[in-house]
Amino acid sequence: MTEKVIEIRNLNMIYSNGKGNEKKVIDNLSLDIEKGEFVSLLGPSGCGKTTLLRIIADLLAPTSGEVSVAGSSPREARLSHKYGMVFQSPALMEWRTVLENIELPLEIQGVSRKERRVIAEKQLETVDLAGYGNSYPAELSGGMKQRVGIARALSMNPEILLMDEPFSALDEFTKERLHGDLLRIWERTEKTIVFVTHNIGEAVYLSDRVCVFSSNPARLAGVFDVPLARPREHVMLKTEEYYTEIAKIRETFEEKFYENI
Amino acid sequence: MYDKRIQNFVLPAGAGIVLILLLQLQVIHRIFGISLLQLPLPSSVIAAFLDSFGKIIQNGWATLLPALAGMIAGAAAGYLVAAFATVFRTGGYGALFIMTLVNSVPIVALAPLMNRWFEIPFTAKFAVIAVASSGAMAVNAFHGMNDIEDNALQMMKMTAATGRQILFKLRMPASLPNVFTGFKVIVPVGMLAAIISEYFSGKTEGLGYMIKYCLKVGNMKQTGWAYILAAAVLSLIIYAAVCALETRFTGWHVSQRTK
Repeated sequence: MTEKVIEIRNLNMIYSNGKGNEKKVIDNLSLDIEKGEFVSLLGPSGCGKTTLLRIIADLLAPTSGEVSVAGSSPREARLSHKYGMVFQSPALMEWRTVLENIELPLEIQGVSRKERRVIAEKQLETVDLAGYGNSYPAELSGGMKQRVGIARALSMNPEILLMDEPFSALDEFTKERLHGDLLRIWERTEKTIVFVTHNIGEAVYLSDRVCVFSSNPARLAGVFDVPLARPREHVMLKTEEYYTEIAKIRETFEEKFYENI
Repeated sequence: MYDKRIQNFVLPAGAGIVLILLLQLQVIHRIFGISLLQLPLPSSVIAAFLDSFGKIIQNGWATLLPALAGMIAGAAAGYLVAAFATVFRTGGYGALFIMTLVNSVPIVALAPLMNRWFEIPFTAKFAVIAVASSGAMAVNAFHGMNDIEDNALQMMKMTAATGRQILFKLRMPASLPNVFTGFKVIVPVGMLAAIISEYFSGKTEGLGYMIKYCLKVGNMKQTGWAYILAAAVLSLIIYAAVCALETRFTGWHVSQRTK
């Protein structure tokens, strides 16, 4: 069961400020992501991990190289709703209720009022927020807002969930709770998840595979399979295996890392 | 405990009452050496107000109707230009620029000019007020439609939203608080434009005309002040209506949160 869903070949991304200054943030990157896989893109700021996610999402065009998503281009994938995206900020519409926010992608797609309400209510249950449907975002906590963001991303039933540091603005306790929620959703829906983070522990705990990026120069420093058993439980956060994986990842960039930040 | 009601009601109302008392007891008159002819007592202004109540209402309508129509038309034009400038950067930005340019022409200069263009007093007032109102709305609405979080725009793109959907479902609702800010600027400006237009008008109606006329006539000073009072009250009523609508329609916005 190793069907590739995202194939990245010889990808390069160079930012230019128009004054002759160029910064290479992705250097000849090739990477495959399998269907149903949970992959983390891990690294410090400026290493190109968010850029890579945005290229996959068709929010950015690469300088050169190819990305194919289930055989089509990122653009076709985006237009045919293969993606759901969750951002660092929940980016909810303050004037819409929680349910109306979750319905938004369906509304844009022209799904009927009745049908989208049914789907939105189901997604609301998925993220454990049943009963908050008629609340406004301002009435929710940060963690709840982020869960609404996840429900909205799931509403179109996308194949691939792209997550851009979705929990990095949350406190540790809320974050751990959402890790549990996300894993449960992932296990049940069998979606492919590409998860950008700068937190090593988070990447190890959630992922099947961790792609470690380093900056200056930006490059893919290593790809690690995480051998921790599934389903992942919070007790694993206290085990030696967990710390061993973290230590392995640290070794890839520890020597040169801090002087380059 | 700190009570919001003290801040929002008791303090301003108290300050108003103290000021009126200082006027009534002629304290202010004595300090600044002002005669009662220059600044009538509040009691005599109120007496004059009640005396000419019928005429005040009649002239108030003559001012209010074109003022409201002009403000709404000006606001609508300003909003359209803001939307146009948001969608078509180059051409739209030019329109926005011209609108603010026209808006910066002093009303005092514009009013006599437009009074000559339009024969019907309603139309003349309407036009001055609309022009004076459009710029504030254009600038505020444009700001609201473009001060959008990056992630919200990208989220719309990820759902394959069209430019039109981004405008109607994201930018326009997001600009609603700014629309109300625009109206709050427009109300005093629009009333001012209405009164100035009447000042320069050859027609003998409206609060502006009555203020000018009464203040000129020796024994009608209090009545003139009664018309000034009426103009102020009218302005306040419209402003309060805008605030009420704002609370009703932008309850979700940070600025409207009471907690």
